[in-house]
Amino acid sequence: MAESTLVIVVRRVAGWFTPIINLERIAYILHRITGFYLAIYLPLHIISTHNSLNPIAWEKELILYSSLPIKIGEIFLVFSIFFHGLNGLRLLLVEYFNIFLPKKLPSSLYLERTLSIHNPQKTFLYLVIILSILLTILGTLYLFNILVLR
Amino acid sequence: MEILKYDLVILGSGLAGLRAGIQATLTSRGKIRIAVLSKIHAMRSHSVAAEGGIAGVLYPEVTGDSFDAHAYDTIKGSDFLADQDAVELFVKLAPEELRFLDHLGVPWSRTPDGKIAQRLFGGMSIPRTAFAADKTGFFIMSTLYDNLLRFDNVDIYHDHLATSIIMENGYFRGFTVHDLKEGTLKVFLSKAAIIATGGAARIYGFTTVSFAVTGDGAAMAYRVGIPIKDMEFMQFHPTGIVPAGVLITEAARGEGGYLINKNGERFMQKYAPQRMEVAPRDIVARSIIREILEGRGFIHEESGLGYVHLDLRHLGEEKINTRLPFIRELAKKLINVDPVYEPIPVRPTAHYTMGGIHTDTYGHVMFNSKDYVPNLWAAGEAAAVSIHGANRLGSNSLAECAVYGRLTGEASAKYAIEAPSSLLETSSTIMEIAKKEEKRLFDELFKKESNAEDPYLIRQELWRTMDTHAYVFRDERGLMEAARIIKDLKERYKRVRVDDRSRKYNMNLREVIELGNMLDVSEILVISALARTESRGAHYRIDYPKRDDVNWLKHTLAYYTPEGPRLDYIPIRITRWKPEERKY
Amino acid sequence: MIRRAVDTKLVSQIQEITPKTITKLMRVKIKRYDPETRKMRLVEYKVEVSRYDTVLDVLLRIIRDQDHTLSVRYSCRMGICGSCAMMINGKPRLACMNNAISLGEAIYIEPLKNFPPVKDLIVDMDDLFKKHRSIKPWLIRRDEEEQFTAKKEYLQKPEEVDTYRIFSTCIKCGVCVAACPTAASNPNFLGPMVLAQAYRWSADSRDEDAKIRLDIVDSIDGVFGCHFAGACSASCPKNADPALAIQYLRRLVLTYKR
Repeated sequence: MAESTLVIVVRRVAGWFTPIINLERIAYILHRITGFYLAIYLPLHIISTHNSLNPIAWEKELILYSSLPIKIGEIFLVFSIFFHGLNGLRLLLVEYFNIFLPKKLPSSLYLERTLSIHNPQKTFLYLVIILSILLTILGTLYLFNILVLR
Repeated sequence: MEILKYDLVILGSGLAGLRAGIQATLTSRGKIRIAVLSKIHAMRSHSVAAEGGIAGVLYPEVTGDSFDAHAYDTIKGSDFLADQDAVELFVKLAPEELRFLDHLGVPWSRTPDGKIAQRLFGGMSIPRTAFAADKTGFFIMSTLYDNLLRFDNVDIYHDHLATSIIMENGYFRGFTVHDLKEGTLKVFLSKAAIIATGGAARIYGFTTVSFAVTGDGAAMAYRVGIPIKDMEFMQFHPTGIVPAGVLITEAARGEGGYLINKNGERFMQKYAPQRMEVAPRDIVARSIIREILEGRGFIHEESGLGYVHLDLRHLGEEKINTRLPFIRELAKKLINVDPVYEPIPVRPTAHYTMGGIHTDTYGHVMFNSKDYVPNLWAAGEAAAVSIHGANRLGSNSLAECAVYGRLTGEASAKYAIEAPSSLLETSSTIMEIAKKEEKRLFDELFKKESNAEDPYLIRQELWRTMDTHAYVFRDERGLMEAARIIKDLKERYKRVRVDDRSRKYNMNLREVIELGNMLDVSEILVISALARTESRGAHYRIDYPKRDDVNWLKHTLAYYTPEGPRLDYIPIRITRWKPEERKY
Repeated sequence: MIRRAVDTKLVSQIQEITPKTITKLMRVKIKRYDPETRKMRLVEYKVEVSRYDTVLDVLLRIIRDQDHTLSVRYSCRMGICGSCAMMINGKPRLACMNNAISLGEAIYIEPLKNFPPVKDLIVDMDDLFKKHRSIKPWLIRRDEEEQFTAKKEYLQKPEEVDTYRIFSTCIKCGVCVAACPTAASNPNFLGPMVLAQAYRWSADSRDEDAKIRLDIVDSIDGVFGCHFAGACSASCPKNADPALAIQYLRRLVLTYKR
């Protein structure tokens, strides 16, 4: 019983979402979604700014850019850049340099907490999330011209 | 019906079976084709639940140990019913096994200078039990299974339940095996076979063992005329959690735990003043039951079972976390008791089957005291060599599985290399037996009579009977009642029904097959216990409380007849240690 | 000698199994796979549950009293064999180590995720076992003859045992594979259990040639498919921490010199 590619892709993507047990998994899902978003946004941005060579089309585009849906999309873009970057930094530190992971494993097999997903790694994850949200808020304020950079 | 042909078939994938598979491959240099069958996944056999350790004389110059000391401890622990030449062979090979397992990758607990750590255990005079945290059996099983995957000549069959043995002219020919996943019957023909299916402690309701330990190998061998030896000796481990029955390892007592009754006293002072809690298991079990019966035990309100306390609080959290982490986890998750702060409720539970298929000193199955089945071996708890006699010392079972896995693997591989391939030809007898088995199994699927019996009710009745009448203390009236009930249950079993009609993974059918085996084994146990009018080791008769070496220094052999087991007796082989009084 | 009067006490103490505890009526909804129609169907049962009952006890009571056709894998009922892994209330767990009453009003049980179902709650784990075999889970030593016949044990200090002992407590139950998002979306991904076992054998000080194993896991379907979602470690019933092993393994793969 062959299934169409679309069904397979949908089922695979749905596999990311359940079961949600811990915060790192939410970070995993967000990292993939933001990565996907950036991967789609960047080519579109390049294609659209290509139109800056054509003044009339460029005028139309600038009006489009100030419409609300695009603004909301830009807020999510800001979040994507900060979150994907900071989380990527966290993943690099944890996965390659093994920072925040225990250097010496305990000699007892009775463990109250799972070592890899608790402190200090968890603290850094909270830091990443809080920083991303704060910087996004800053960015939103700038986008809506509430905060103006000189 | 699919017919598969192998040089060697190993039935059962516990410690003994996997060790035999590895040894057979090494002995034959990978030339023979081996099949390992397991009725569940191969790495989930009940050997994984063994907790305490495995005994062996590793460093005699350091601890002052010797082979003779280990042998004497084992023979005295067995209440002098063990075959002493087998014990002498066993203690010599045990340390080699520990080192071999280390080479395979078992994470032994170590001393600071890198050697394998050893600790004191029940009934042992010198610390000789090597351990890996408190999950020794699990680590050894896991390592053996992983290493068995190295060899290309070994095929592991998961979810294959053997239903009967095919014999022809006194030779073993093959097994009829029910493939649970596909729902078909297969025939495995082989030149040689090793039965390593484990014990039968699940015939009791309150037991430490898993649901899969139903004595299948012993029952199948019994039905084709192979005698079952010393089945009346069923070991009751003193410390099983109330009400679940889950095992609390003997190491808890070995590390210094106390057994306390209702009055707060360490009652083992009265029964074994020298060894106290680390006395052999049968003595401790009887002491606990005696305390409960004389009113100094607690009563569990939800199940009505009496119990005493196992107190580990004085050991301290760090020692418990390093040496006994698994039992802390079990006590917390199953009954919400933290051993660091509260004592654990414990009671004797059915644990180990000293009896089993009759074999000689090297694990070769025999029909009586001189005739062999030329190409069949048995190893591990399923076999009775017998090394443990009437009572097993802790940590000797894992050592026995490893040693006899090796001996039977070697012997059967040598036989399979030299045996003629005519042993693999199908004959009309074999096909007839196989077809009859298929009809018996799958016709049960279509029984729709209105008076068909519910297998789960029969099983419940069996559990209640065995728990009541064949427990730590037995007497004639109780055993006769048990024998009568079991006979009645066997009649009812002939009319049992299977409700699940599906072919794929029919657990209902599997449980009905296991129930048949359980009923056979219980019958053998009760009849053998009724006949033995003495108390020895784990078998204690209230009406005959003394050990009787004049009449009963012999092994019981039970043979199959349609009316019930026919008993016969063979002498014990004594080499150097004369029977004496057993005091601790 | 103990008199006959004591017998009746013995009998009465074991036969009184009438529960004197409060039992609660719970709804148990089980999603069962039917191999004939190849579809899942939801069946609901109502069963009395007492204080210490685990989810496995509840399932066995259902099989015994209400429905003999329900098929479940189980063996040791003490959390060491790994047979009874299934999805309970949306999370992958071992049925025998989870208390039933503490799960709330109703229990919702499904077969283990990310494995093909065979019947009812039983799944097919052959693929997992094949992947496990492919990473060579044994000690690789240069002299194999010596490994199988030597007379002296390998020396290993307690600290060296500590570096891998936690990961060797894996019972191969499959719960981590059910929790892993990469395993859900990539069927060729080796999976947390297999990768953790690759680290366990590579980190063992008695192992002499980890390069062979590291080359096998050095791929997008191996250690680089993991992006540290950590769900495997969060759900592991033995706390064997596969996520930790995989991060250590990644570093080992990238920095191994020999």
